[in-house]
Amino acid sequence: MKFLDILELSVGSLLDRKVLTALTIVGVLIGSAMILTLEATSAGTTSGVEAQVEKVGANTLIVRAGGANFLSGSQSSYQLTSQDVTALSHLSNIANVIPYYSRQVDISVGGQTVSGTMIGIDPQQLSKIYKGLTLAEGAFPTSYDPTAAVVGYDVAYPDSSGTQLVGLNQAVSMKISSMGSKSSTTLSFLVTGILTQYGSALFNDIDSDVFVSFNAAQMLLGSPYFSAIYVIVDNVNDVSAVQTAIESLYASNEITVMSAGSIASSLSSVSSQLSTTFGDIGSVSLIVAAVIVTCTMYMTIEKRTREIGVLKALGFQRTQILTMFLTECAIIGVAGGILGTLVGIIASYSIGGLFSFGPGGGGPGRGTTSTSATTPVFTAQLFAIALLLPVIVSIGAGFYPAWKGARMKPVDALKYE
Amino acid sequence: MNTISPHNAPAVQTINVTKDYNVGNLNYPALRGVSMKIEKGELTSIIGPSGSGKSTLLNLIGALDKPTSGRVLVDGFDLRKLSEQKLALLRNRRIGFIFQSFNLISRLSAIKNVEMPLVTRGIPKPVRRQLSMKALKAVGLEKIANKRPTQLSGGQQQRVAVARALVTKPALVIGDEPTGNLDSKTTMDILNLIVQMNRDSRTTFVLVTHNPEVAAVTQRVIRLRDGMIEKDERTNRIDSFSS
Repeated sequence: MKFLDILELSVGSLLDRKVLTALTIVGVLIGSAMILTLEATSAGTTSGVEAQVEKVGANTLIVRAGGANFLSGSQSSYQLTSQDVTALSHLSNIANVIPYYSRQVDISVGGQTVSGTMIGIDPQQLSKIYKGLTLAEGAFPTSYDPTAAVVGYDVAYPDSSGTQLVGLNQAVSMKISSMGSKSSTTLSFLVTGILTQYGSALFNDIDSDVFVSFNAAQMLLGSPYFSAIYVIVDNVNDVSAVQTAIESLYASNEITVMSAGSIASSLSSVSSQLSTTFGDIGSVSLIVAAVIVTCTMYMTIEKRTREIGVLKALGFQRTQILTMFLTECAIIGVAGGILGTLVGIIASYSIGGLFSFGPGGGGPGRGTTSTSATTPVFTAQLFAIALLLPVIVSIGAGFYPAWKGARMKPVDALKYE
Repeated sequence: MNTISPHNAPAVQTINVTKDYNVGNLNYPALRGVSMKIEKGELTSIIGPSGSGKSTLLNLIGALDKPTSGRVLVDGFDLRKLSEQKLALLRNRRIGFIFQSFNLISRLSAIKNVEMPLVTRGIPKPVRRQLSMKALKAVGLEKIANKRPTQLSGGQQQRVAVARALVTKPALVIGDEPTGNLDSKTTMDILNLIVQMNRDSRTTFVLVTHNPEVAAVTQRVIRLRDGMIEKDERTNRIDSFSS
């Protein structure tokens, strides 16, 4: 019996029960789409986070004040100051110690006021922390210039049309409100540089930040306490030792030390677990699809019992009848796999925004496209799974009812009402 | 081992065939030692009251079922010795079926229904289309080749079934109450067709019926009662049956 004839007969019988076929395909499609969407989104999230972490560099440590004592439940009130900078600088294998301030501010420019993040840091050190960060226009101010600011790309070009809101030598003012009081301080800065588009680095949206000198930030905030200190280690192999050395300078809950590498490692572990969990969810949905296919085949074969008897009377072999039924299952799997892949791709991009990693704030007139939204990652292997697994599952699920149907005695099948 | 040459073998031979059915704990003997021989080219009817075993006998002759004991030979082939696969081949190449309820596949057109015995052989589409059209023409239905069974009358559907039964040029055609679902006029038409096919192609026909009018067109009537042959006689056949 020719395969094209089998195909024609199988397609004909599927079309003869369009609604049942469509519903079965939907069941398979959902399984395929879920696997693709969950795995692609998970991979995209991992990829996005890794990209952010990589921008900071594996030899960078971040020292933050405070750490919870999990036994007592108490939170330390320790604050980072210049003394900490001095102490850290004296450790071995340290290339740079860079303190910085970070605070949410109201940024006013061109008559508009928006919320943003001010980073007070030595501008000359920026490129040591954020790998590949360069200027699109202008220059970095000197380390102690209290009036200069470098803005992120989205601050200067807030919308996708390319209209420039902030230009070189333009004034921006930043107002910061004191915590717990109604008083505020406002300072104006002159824009000396505009950064190239960079995206997020270690959950900080660089494109939406305004960078001022360390001294300017200190003046604006009126505080000797730093938000955190970057410690750049000479050699990436010494990161662990330096981290231990730093932690040994303090009591257990005075500071927290994180390395980009350890963050990446933790995230990788979480991502791996998420991927496994998502894979399990996807597998469950395919199991449900398999049950649907099995039910459909049982119903179909029962309804076509007499037809099986007629085919056998006409001389169809058991294997030919089995092949016809399995071909119907395969067609359902192929259709479900293809449609599920298409739906999965659309769903992956749609829900990517739900998994964005970013600061939540933005520069003036911040654009609608979040640079930190998750972009799903599709691989050939993932497509192969999304396309082939439904076929395998459909054939597997339909095998037993098809085999039973093919084995029916012709005399019994012909008597079926 | 069957030593009868296919050339001079009878179309059908049963040797002391029995068939028992188990119904719960009870054993019901549907056939009790039936022995008969139907020669090639005969037009034979098997009649009897309900429960006499005629459909059971037909199923055995048609290789749709196996006897409990005894032998069934179709065109010289001892069915007892054939595997499931070979039985299917035998049904395809040597036996044609006409059923009471037509048993056409409703989603296929008339011509595709007629093609079905040829599809399983892997015959190329143009060849089987040609053979099927010829078969439909022989039953006078070439004009409705592309219509589906639901678009045809009962008589037309049975004619399509006859065409399907004959498309492979079988040695034996089995009809199980072939006119059972038809009105009297259509019954006559189908009977005339069968008689004509039998006469023109010398195909052996075995018809199971409870209708004496059907038996009247056959050359030989085998009467069954309680699973045994009660009577086996030649008839003065009416060559054509008209209203």
